[in-house]
Formats: sequence, structure tokens, C-alpha cells
Amino acid sequence: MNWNLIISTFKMIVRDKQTLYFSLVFPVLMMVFLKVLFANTMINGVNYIDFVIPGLVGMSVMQLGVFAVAFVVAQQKEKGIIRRLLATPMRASEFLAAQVISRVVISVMQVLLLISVAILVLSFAMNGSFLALIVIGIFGSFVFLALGFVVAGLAKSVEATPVVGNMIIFPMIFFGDIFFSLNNAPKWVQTISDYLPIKYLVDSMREVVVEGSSLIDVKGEILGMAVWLVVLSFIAIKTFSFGTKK
Amino acid sequence: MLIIEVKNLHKNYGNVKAVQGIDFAVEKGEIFGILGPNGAGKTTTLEILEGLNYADVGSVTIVGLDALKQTQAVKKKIGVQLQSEAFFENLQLVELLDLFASFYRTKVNALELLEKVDLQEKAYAYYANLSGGQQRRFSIAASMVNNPEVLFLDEPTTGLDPQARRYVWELIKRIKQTGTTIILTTHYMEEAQLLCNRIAIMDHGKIVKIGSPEELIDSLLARHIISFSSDKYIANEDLRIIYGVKNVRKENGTFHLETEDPNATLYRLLQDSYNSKNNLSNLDIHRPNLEDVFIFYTGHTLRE
Repeated sequence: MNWNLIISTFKMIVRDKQTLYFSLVFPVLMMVFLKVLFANTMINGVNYIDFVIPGLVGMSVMQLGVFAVAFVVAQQKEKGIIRRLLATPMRASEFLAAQVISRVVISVMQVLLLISVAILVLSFAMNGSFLALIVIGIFGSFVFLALGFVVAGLAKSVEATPVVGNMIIFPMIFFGDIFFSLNNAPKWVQTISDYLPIKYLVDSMREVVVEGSSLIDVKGEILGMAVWLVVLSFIAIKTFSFGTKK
Repeated sequence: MLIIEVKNLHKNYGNVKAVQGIDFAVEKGEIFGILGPNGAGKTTTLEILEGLNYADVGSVTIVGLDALKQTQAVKKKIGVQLQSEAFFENLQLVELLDLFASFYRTKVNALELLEKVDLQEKAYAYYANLSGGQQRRFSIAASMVNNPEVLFLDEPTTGLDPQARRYVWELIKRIKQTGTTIILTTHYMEEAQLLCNRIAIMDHGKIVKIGSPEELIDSLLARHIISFSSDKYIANEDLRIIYGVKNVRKENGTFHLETEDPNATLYRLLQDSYNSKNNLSNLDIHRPNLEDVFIFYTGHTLRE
């Protein structure tokens, strides 16, 4: 385990203004905006803002996992940064471990920060345990990091990355129960939605923070994420490469 | 003592024959240069030696290791500067050097290493904020974190202004003095002449000649080059029959005569032009340099 690489990767992420904006500033602004806009709206028997906050937190975990990894790796490949690393005895597993570990830690911090802002600034009622929230956040982060590596593997250039990324992210935002409930949508839409990784993440977060459910109560969602993690990791291993030798 | 031995190395990219059976050996402690134009196969050769590229046929031994099979072991012993490379953004130079040292499971005094390449003042700056020359010096520092036995520099001064180039040359000379073997590629004749103990002239995937700069120049039959431009048309054939002339070439309106007897050739040249009321300008006589050697062995200039 190369701790220097893990800590360096962590520093790089924290010092990157774009990541900071998309994973923290943007979701906070969204929360405030939606709070002002839908102050008295109810959805599924709860306040809209209480419904949408877990959704936004889940979405932020997804964005950080998918886009941060895919963009960073594509850029590092294109600029010749990865090639320079390959000229050292560094192992690919060292690089991947550092990416995953540092980004999962960042994701947990992101979840805690966003929920804290919601509680302190938007008087969000947190009914569940922070520990359960963290465990779910870690699961979600792993799933979307794996998806990030799949995107990085499929997109052959920096330009192609947002195209491939958005093709995957947009359906998840619409069909993931993030901003609105799909309770009145056609049955087939609901069926597709039910198996999306983002749905598992957002649903379990919502149950924990809004209804105070325990991890046992959301074991189905956690299992769903675990299955996605295995599948996506498998695809990532098949598609992702550093572009080593010609 | 030989530190690198390359035998019968071949590499194709589809139909493009990048490297076509080259052989060379590098002595411990020398600066060995591969001189050639873009597309000659220099970078491909270096990448195979560095373990970044596969060879189709051939054998490569570096510090006693089979470099085509034991790439991981070789990487630990060598330092590498790639032609188009970059380093992580958002990490300071000291952090980058510490990180690179960690890849070799070693520790490095980053400030001391930066001092060696005169970058101590930039220790806490980011790579992207350095000038071109500073970036090149930093990448040389990064290539030395593991105290390599062999240093590979792929076109270390391409794209730098003359001042920054001289700076890097001084640095390379200093590294050589510590006993490190250096193998570099270049398409600058001046760089090869100034730095290299021995030079391999490479063209179209083949090494056409190897030797010290002096040996290469001495290998030419003609000891002098007479250059001039002419107001009136002169056929190359008319120049070729002048006494002493070994070879004639015309480049951008300037004639270059390679001659063994500059006095006789010049006398006849001036006499002919006086008789035909021609006017010769920019007349110049010089000893052949590496550029002339390159043209002699490849039939074209380095820039073509």
C-alpha cells in the first residue's frame, strides 16, 4: 500500500477547485434554491425539501464518483501524466487503490458536510443515525467510482468523457427519484428506475435520514448496490486501461 | 564495461517500419546520443529500452537485465525523461519528488535534488506554473529520484530557447560527472557534438553510423566544404568535374562542394567564374561538421 500516493491523491482532489465546486458548492446552492422555491410543497407525505435533500446528497456522491474519476483519468492520460508514471515501477493496483481510497474518504466528508449544512442552515430534520448514513455513502461511493472507471475506459478522449458520462448520468438523474417521485409514472418506467444504482443509494439514504431506518431495514438497497459494484468492477477491469504499450 | 547492449531490434506499427534491425552498445559513464530527424525511430527505440513499448524482434540488455522481459526490474535502475510528459497538477514540486521516490520504495531529499537543478526557489510551486526550461529541469530531477544508473533523455532541449537549452546542457554535463550513464536523443547537431562521447546517426529506422563526433567527421573523405551562391546558373555536373571535388549538393540556392583539395578547387572555381563574368557570393570554406556527416550518410539534411 503506497500511503504517499493515497495522501497525494487526496491533496490533489481537495486542491481542485472544479471538484470542490461540483461536489460541495453546487449541491448547497441547489438545496437553498429548492428550499426557497418549494417551501410549502409536500411530496409522498413529507416536505419537498426533506424529500429532495437526500436525493441531492446521493446525486453529489454520484457526480463525484463518475465525473471526477473519468475526467481526471482522461486528462492525465492525454497530458502524458500516466505515461510518465508507467516509466516508474509504480503498479497499476497502487494507482487504482489510491484513487478509490482517497475518493471514498472525500465522499464520506461530502455526505457529512452536505447533511450538516442541511441541518444547520435549512433546519432539515435528521431522524436516522450518521453511522448508517456513512456506511451507505461508502457503498454508493464505491459503486459510482467503479462506474467512473467504466466511463474512463469507454471514453477514448477528454472530449468524449462528458458525452459518455452524461449518457449514463442523465437517465439516473431523471429516473432516480432525486428531484421528483416516480410514483405516478408508467409501470415500466418504475421498473427500470427500481434497478438503477442511484435509486438504491437515494432510497436508502432517504429511509435512514427521513424515517430513521436502520441498516438492516435497507439491506435490500445495500444488496442492490453490492451487485452493481461487482458488475461495474468487472466491466471496469475489462474496459479500463492505462494505454500502456503499443 | 557495457551497460546497454541492443541487438537486431525491430519494431513495426502496422505497415510502418519504425525500427529496422538496429545494434548498438553503450559504455558505462558515457553520454551516448542518437541523432536523427523526426520520425527516424529514436523515440520508439528509447521507449522499448524503457519498458514502455514492445519490440517485435531483438534483444536488449540493460545493467545485466533482459530489458524486454524484466521490465519492472529495469525500471528500478533507470531514470526516464519522456518527450511529451507532464506531472500531476495541484502538487508542489517537493511533493511530486517525494511521491516519485515512493514508487521506487525509497526516500529522497527533495530540496537537495531541486537545488541540483537550480529550482530550490520553486520548491513549493506547481509544475504547470513553471517556464518551459524549468519544467525540463524539473523532469530531469524527477528522473533522478532513484539515483539511476542509466538516464534516458528523449530530446531534452527540443522547444527551448537558446539560453534555456544551454542551461540544460550544463546540467547534463554535471550529471555525467557523477558517473551516471546518459543516453539521449536529439535532432540538434550542436547538442550532439557538445555533449556526446559517441553518436549513433539514425535515419528511417536504421543506424547508419556510430562513432565519436571526431571519428564521424574524420570518416568523411572530404576534409573541407566550400559553400557559395552564384548569380548565374551552374550545373552540378560542371562543379563535380573540378579537381578535388568529391560531392556537390545544392540547397536553397547555395552550393556545397565537398573537396579534398580546397586550394585547387577554389582556384578553379574563381577562375571559371571570372571567365564567365559570373559573381559568386557568400563564399565560405569550413571543416565538415556533424550536419555534413549526416548529409553524407543519409543523403538529406536533418531538418527534412
